[in-house]
Amino acid sequence: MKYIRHASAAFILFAIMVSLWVQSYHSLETNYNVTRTGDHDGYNVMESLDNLNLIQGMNQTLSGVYSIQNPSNVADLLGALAAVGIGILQLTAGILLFPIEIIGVLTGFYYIPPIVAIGIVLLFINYIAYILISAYTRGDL
Amino acid sequence: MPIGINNVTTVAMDNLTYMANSTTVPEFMVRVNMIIFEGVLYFILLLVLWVILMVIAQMISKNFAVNLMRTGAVVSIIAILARFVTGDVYGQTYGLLTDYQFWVFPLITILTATVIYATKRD
Repeated sequence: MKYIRHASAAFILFAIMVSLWVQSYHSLETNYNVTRTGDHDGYNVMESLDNLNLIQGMNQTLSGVYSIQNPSNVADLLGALAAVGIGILQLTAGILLFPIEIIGVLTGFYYIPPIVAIGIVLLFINYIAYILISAYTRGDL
Repeated sequence: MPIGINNVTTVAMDNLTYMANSTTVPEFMVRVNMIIFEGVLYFILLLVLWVILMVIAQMISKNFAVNLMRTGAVVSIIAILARFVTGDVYGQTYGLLTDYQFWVFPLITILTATVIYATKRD
């Protein structure tokens, strides 16, 4: 990650793709009358991703900015500024907690116990570390 | 000497007869998937398609992550179409893929795209 703009673009891209999938699924669900299966807490996996702090923070900030541009009175303006502030806080928290939230959504949706998910991640880190150490020392371990 | 399907239990024969008496092609496809393959046929077929597309893409340009993202996009589109091909099996409506199977493809594609764009070098 050389520039922060790449990370920002990636997160915006992520938010757009998740929203598009949610929209596509909802419209096809309505038009084809398909009964959904496999929800977790009433949401499918894309709806859960749509509820991440990252995307909600982005939406909150944007709606706040829109209210600042079109205020009706002073209280409205103050409320909008507060909304932008809260949105940015939520967005920052969303970026910091992004990997943890993603793992939470995926393990919840596919009913993987967290301990198994942590074990798999540790195994992968171990596996990649051995390859990298082997390459660095130019020999078998 | 008997010719054809032998030694079939009554339950299996009933299932096969029910499957063969489908009224539409999508219904027949769903019944084959649910009765014979217990709902995993099209998921495995899509995974195999993904591997084939990946091999072809790797032959054209050797960039694993980008190829995974692009071929994943193609497979995801086919997966959502397969999700909404539905049929009736013993009074219940099923798709060619279940939701659990369907979301695997867009999830991997979206997460790969996020990683690729977040770690761009130039």
